[in-house]
Amino acid sequence: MVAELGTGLVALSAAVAIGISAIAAAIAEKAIGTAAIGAMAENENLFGKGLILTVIPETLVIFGLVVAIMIIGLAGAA
Amino acid sequence: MLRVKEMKKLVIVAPKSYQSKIISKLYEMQALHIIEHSKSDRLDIGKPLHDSPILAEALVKVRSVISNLAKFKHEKKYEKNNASAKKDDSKNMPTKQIVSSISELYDDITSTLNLSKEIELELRSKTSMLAKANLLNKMKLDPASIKGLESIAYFIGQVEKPHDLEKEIKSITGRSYFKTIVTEGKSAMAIFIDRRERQNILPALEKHRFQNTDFTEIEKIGAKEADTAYLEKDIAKLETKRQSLEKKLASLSKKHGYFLAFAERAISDEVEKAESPLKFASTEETVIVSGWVPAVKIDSLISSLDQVTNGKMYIEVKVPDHHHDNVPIKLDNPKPVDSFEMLMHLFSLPQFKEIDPTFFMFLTFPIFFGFMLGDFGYGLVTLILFLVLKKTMPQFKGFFNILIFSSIATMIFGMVFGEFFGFEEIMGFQIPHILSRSHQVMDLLTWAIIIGIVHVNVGLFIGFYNEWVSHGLYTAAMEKLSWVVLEVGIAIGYFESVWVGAIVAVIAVIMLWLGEGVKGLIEIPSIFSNILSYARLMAIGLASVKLAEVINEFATEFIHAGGISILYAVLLLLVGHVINIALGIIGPFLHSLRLHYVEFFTKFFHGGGKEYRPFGYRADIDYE
Repeated sequence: MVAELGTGLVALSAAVAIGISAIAAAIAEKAIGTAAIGAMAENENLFGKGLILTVIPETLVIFGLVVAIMIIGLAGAA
Repeated sequence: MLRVKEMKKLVIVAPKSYQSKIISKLYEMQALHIIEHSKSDRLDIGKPLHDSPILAEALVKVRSVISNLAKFKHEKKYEKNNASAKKDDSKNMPTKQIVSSISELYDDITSTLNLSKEIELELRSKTSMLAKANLLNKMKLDPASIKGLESIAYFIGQVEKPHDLEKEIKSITGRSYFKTIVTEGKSAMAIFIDRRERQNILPALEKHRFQNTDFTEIEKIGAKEADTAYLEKDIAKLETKRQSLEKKLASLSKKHGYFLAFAERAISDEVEKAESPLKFASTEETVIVSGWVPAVKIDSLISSLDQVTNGKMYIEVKVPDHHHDNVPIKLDNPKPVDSFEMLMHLFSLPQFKEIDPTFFMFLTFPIFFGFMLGDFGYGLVTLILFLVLKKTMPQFKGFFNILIFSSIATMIFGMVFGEFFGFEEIMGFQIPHILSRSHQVMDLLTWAIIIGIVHVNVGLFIGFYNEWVSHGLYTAAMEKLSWVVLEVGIAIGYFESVWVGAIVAVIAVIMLWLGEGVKGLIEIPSIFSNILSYARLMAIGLASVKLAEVINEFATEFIHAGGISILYAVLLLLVGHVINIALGIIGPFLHSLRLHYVEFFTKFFHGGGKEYRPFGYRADIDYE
């Protein structure tokens, strides 16, 4: 199977878009998760709030995914 | 429904002689959220009722008894033991009687416990003595032989290398006698030396880690008492005594278990009543209680207080002043909607004048959840799961109700997307769909964004209403409507004419600047990121579909291979879909919640309301 170099670059850029945004989300969630566990050790009722706060940076990956889909979509259209 | 319960402020002034009657009535009615009076120059706080110390002492006693009897596990939770509650006549027992019987029970149990502790101690000392006597026996030493030694010192104990020690001691002093035995794999040794040499051999003992056993107890008692058979008999006697005490405690626990649980609750109720005057304002002859009452309960509260005091009181009803009063909040929603109040408690309660968004969550939360999970099969599984869980864990009823609504929405969206456990066709039969998630990704994204635009704008309009009510039309228009104008401007610019759109957008920005100042201008990009954030409706759903498809593809290959592989296929389908369903509950739940908390609530919600907790209400009892 011989794919064109251009197709490979499109796939690679989509992968970079989602991969790096996922790393960014992970870094943010790491900090929030640690703090949330700390807060929960003080007061167990904060579990709900901690859980919610922890998923907030997941927006970053979703933006990454949207960009990745758009890259593939635009490349397909071109 | 969209409003929190209306509250009125109540100030009750009554003679002190009626204080305890008023307290009892208020406690029983569970309607008044007391405003704690803080001590001032003109008005002091009240003093606890006169029986408060007795009640507090009884409470300490009953709790101590309960914790001492806890190991027998007979005491039941008061509210769960309805069957015996009906049988038990202690329910109507006056408090005085409860206190006195608790006091009796406490004395009885404490003395038994003390006796049992004494016996335990004696048992321990006798057991250690027996071990020592056994050691002497094994060494063939008479207990009498170590008694009253004047010129001889002795050491008896365990040592690892008895021969090395013996050699070393012999090199220090010639006048010594040794006896070594091996018992239970360890060497025990008796050393007899001249008392004058005692100090000299201590370093040698330490060096060889000699573990000396203390025989002073044995020396003190007579030879007869130090006999092992005698000791064993003693221990057996103590053991039977201890067991009979244990049995007595167990039977006491069984007999009074229910009463104790009941008394704990009854007395803690009484203590709370007795200490409540600390929250009241008081003068020498009068007591002043102020608090919040739901408007619907105000008439019945006043009339029953009137009855209790024979009309000898003064009551003032005030309408709350929203700017100064911190009105407690009670959410007010009809039956299926009220389950979603839990999500408000998790976040923050609205303030008194604000719109209570519970109803909006009731409408959109299941839709978002369903849009993300969106599989008829998964919806069916989760629906059954949560119906069962709701039956088995009634204390989390509200939470499971939310998930049941969400599961139903999942099934509906499963039909829209034409998915059944990730399959779009079964046995060659194409499941009808309106939108295929795995093939029309761009369309799915568009729909997600459209939902986002609608949801965010609903939020803006609620915000507009909230602002209008509390700060007037101008502020509301500048702060909230400006965002809508901005969106309209962008839409015109995109679809029609760039210039017209730009002009509308500039007007919107000016409005925003007038409404919120620089903060508003900085916030402008947030409207885009908020709307784009709804792309998660597509993204999480897509991840779930793709995972299901991968599982199905693998399983299909295994099935085609035939033979034992079919078993693998079944296993793979089972484990794979269970994991995917678990992820599919957690992910959509959290993200749906997040879309409400972060994207929706920020458009209108202030929050920070304090919860309405009427006097006499106890969170640990299910009043239904």
